[in-house]
Amino acid sequence: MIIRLLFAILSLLVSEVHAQAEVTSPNYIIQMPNFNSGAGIPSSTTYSIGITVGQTAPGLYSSTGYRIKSGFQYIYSIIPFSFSISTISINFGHLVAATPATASGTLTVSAGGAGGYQVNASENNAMKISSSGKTIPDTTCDTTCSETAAGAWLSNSRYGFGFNMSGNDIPADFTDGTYFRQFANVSLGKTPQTVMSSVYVWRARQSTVTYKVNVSATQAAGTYRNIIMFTAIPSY
Amino acid sequence: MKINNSQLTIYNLKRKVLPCLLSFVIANFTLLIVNSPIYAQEVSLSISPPILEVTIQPGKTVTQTYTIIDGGIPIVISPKIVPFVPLDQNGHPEIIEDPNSINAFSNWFSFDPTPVSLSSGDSHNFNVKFTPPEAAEEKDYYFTLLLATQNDNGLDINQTQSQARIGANILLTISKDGNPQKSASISLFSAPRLIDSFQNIIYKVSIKNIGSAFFKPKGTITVNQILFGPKTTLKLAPQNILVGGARVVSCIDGENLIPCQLPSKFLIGIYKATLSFTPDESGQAIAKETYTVAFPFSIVIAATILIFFYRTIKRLVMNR
Repeated sequence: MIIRLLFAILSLLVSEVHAQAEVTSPNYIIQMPNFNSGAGIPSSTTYSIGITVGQTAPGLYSSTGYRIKSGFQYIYSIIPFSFSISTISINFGHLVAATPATASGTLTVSAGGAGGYQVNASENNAMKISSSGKTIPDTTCDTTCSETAAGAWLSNSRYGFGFNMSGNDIPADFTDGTYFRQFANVSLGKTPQTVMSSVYVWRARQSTVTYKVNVSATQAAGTYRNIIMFTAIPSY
Repeated sequence: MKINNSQLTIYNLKRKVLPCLLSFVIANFTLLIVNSPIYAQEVSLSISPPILEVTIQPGKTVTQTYTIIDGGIPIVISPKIVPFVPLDQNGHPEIIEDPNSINAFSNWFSFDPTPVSLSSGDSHNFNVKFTPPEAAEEKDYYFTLLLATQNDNGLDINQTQSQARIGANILLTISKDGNPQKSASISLFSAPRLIDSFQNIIYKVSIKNIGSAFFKPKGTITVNQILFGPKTTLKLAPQNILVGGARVVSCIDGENLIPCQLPSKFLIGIYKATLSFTPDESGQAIAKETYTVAFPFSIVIAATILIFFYRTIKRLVMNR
């Protein structure tokens, strides 16, 4: 009996998926745009327009020459898109050969007023002495890693500069605290890489960036520096 | 009993100083527990609005004010506008920063590029004037307004400095009549064909823009349990789908983006789901259906195993 029932149900699965070009009675609600911009109202030299700008009123477009909507219509909260970096100067102090130095900072994103977000990261160049141009190369981890793929970096005899991430919305390849990536080096034409992203609306998402630098005994003495750029952009 | 001076001093110490000390320790401990961490070097930027959608005739002008708030240390910020293209199907932009791409649109925007100093808690309004030239082609153009902090030279030590940038997207449609062609196709509407009754049906929706202007899908997924079940309506999130691209569309509950899935905890029977929407409020309605069968396989399997064991045990007992 059970087997017969199973066959009966399985036979239903062969039914096709139907596509319709048109639905005569669409079951949806048309909403008038709901403006939630926390900023000023758009204006032009000839028109001063109130909060109803963007409504699809007949004749409006032809008289003004534009239609404008600001903010996400489906998010009613007036929450600005916010981005914080806890520490702008990451100091490694005096570097000792084959002794990794680490330091960390926190990134926080509030995308309450936006439908998702991403944070990209890149470096202006490898850590270098500005006067001589000597560099600490970007890490290749214990075996291999790049700006797009993290790798384990435990060996103290593997030298370079890299970063690990932990926390919310980070790339999946940061398996644990031993996995590191290079920063995308803009001076070499590399594209900034996403280090945090989400498709959902959040109040405060937080991640920790741990920077690590390890130098060899042959590393030229001097002061090495670079700039890491974090760019937070809401989804469209 | 006589009390000497030293005993009196100790007594006063215990009576007056110790409570004060205790209060001080408790107060500090409470502050430590209650207060959230404050970072001495924190850079914190906010921008509003996070997105701007403009449909404009060539040669016309409109101005938008952006408000930037400095919630961290004093900073100097500078603005720029760069084009972007869709990075993926999740609504993430990929900004294009090569000088040629930026310069190609330099006469479309007008804003004060002078860096602005902001103290902690300050806000600043950036006015951006949009004037697409008369000769601009009627189509969509996508940009991001970027506000970047400026870095100082830093200390003379081994260090890496962080620079923060925050963006707000601009979707610009150039149209003479204000009614650009908006057309969509469903690139994916799927659900599992067969599930256990205790599983949930999750609908995957991807919509492609095959028109000449971005749009938001306005519509629903209506799920009917064929025969006797109730009807459930899931509302599609009106997320922007850009020209030439596809986007995985979520559902929306209130103002929360959620996966498109049935809320029911126990499903049984055949479920017919109909995705129907229009690009924005107008345009051709599009629909697609998919079916899912929910059956309590886990219960049947468990019952079968129980019956099997029951009969086996019964047979063994009878044989004895």
